[in-house]
Amino acid sequence: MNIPQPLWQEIEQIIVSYPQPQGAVLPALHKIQERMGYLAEEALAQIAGHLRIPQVDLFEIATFYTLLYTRPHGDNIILVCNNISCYILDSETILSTLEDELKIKAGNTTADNKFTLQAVSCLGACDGGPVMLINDQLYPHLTGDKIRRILKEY
Amino acid sequence: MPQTRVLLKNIGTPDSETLDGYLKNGGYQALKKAVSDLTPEEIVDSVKRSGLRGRGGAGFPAGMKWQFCASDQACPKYVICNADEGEPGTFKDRILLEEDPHAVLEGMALAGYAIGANQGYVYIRGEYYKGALSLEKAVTEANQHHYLGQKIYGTDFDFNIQVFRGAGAYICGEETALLDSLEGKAGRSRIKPPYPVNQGLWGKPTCVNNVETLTNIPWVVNKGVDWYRKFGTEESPGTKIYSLSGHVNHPGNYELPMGATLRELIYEYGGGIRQGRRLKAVMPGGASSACLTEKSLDVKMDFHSLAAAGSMLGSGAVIVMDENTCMVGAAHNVAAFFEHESCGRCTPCREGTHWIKRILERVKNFEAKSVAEIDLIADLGQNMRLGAFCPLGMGAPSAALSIIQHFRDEFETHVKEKRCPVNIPAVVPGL
Ligand SMILES: Cc1cc2nc3c(=O)[nH]c(=O)nc-3n(C[C@H](O)[C@H](O)[C@H](O)COP(=O)(O)O)c2cc1C
Ligand code: SF4
Repeated sequence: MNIPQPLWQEIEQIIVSYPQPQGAVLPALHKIQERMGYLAEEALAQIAGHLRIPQVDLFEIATFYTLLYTRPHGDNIILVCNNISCYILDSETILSTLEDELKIKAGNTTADNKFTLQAVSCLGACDGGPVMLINDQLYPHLTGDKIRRILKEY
Repeated sequence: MPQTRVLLKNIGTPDSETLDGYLKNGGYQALKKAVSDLTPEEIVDSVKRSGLRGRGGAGFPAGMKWQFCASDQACPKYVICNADEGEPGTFKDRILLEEDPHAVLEGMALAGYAIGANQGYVYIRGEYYKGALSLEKAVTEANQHHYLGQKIYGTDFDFNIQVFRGAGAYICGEETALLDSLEGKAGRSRIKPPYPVNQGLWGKPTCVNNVETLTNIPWVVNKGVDWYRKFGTEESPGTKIYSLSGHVNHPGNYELPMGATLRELIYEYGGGIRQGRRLKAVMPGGASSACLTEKSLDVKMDFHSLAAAGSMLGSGAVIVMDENTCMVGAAHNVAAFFEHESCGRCTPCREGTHWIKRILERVKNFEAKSVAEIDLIADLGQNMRLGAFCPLGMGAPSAALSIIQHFRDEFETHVKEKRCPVNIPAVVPGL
């Protein structure tokens, strides 16, 4: 998948807003992902070429960060915190409940492509533990019933 | 007892996140005072005398950092607000970013004026969508009304701020890894020296400060050093936002004078342990801090006292565990976090975090053959403390080592008797 022309214009704007073009890498990748869903190999290669960065460097960046996706993901991304504050409030059960409900293991996407489930590091909402983030929406104080209710909203 | 709300004063006031709301709360007056009546040197001097220490974890004196950066002649210079807030158990910066973003921007502009920078970046973690939106809006509003941008308050001082979103990597909170990430690379720590104050972003002098640190600055400038130092202790002045989480009745952010005790925070403000249980362990400063037990509850929560008690204040993330917590599970969870977040650059950390996690997994699953495996963790930890390249690797074994030290019998029961001595009932209802 190549980067479409209108998106290029937005990326150009990002590039000129940084004193060094390479500063635009992460913002540009965010933008591409927002518009195209994920970071396809062709798109990464195009950005690398445009910014004169070795392609391997760009692939490394794209795989280094948890929130960048180099493969297609589901329509909705569920991030479940599994760090210590949530863990001691039983986040493991939260994760396994989600796995059961969605019939997938963490790290995977449902067959209908509706959800991608990921266990992640602290989401910075520990006073509401156990928590999950679906896209940009935070869900605190999870219980099994609550999870089932929330999933129906999507 | 009421909290001592200075930094959190605006939180919960009407439209606190908007420019109007901020102005009604006295916003941008410190910036006005600074650019109209004070020299950059005077600001640096005030921040130095205030005794303010960095709230991002390391506690480095903010004024000293500013002075180093101000005295470097290279230009341009940059101000970076570290809003990566990745330390497990920490959620104080999120509130400030979402609900009082202009206070953060004003702190950054003051830093820019003091050190001679005209450009600032907020590096906000990718998971904070709401915070990033709130900041973006605040920057736009502040620019429109000339609190940021060109010729601030009609003076020659220009200051622009850009919001930069991270993408999910704990190591990017470490200031030099953050710089690499901003420069468009995978975030990995750099060798220090050179320090960012001299060679930071794109090799230029850069002042990196935490969100909470910067939010203190307008207060120091507005109210003065004597007022500021009324709060807190001699060597850790000011207030601190403690993020309280885990098995307490009322988890949340509590702003108290530095040096409030752990007991006050947990029992007076946090309402004590849930379901009337007993406290078992506390991590007072996030996942890299050594755990403390009931014996240490009267420790003052400032940089000095927590270090003297064998732990650290860190980011102020206080994680409370009750008597039903399996400490092997807790140690394993923290170890797994560090294994995942190790950037992999140096061997002691890459291998050490991996093996500590593996061993704890074996103990947790009753697969460990002998207690000698537990001792191996101490060896690995020692190696990491001495040999790791950056503070992530040096701090990674602290939790596991301290938990083993305090609760060794639990580990031995797992190994020798193949059972967990703690009977953990499910705490999540409705499953
Ligand atoms: C692994 C690691 C993660 C860190 N994460 C953060 C963070 O999320 N936010 C932060 O402000 N400081 C973090 N720090 C501390 C920064 O390196 C740096 O000391 C701080 O941003 C300086 O600002 P301050 O002096 O105002 O605290 C981290 C340090 C390490 C070693
Ligand atoms: S200590 Fe860990 S995080 Fe730091 S450089 Fe080494 S591998 Fe990377």
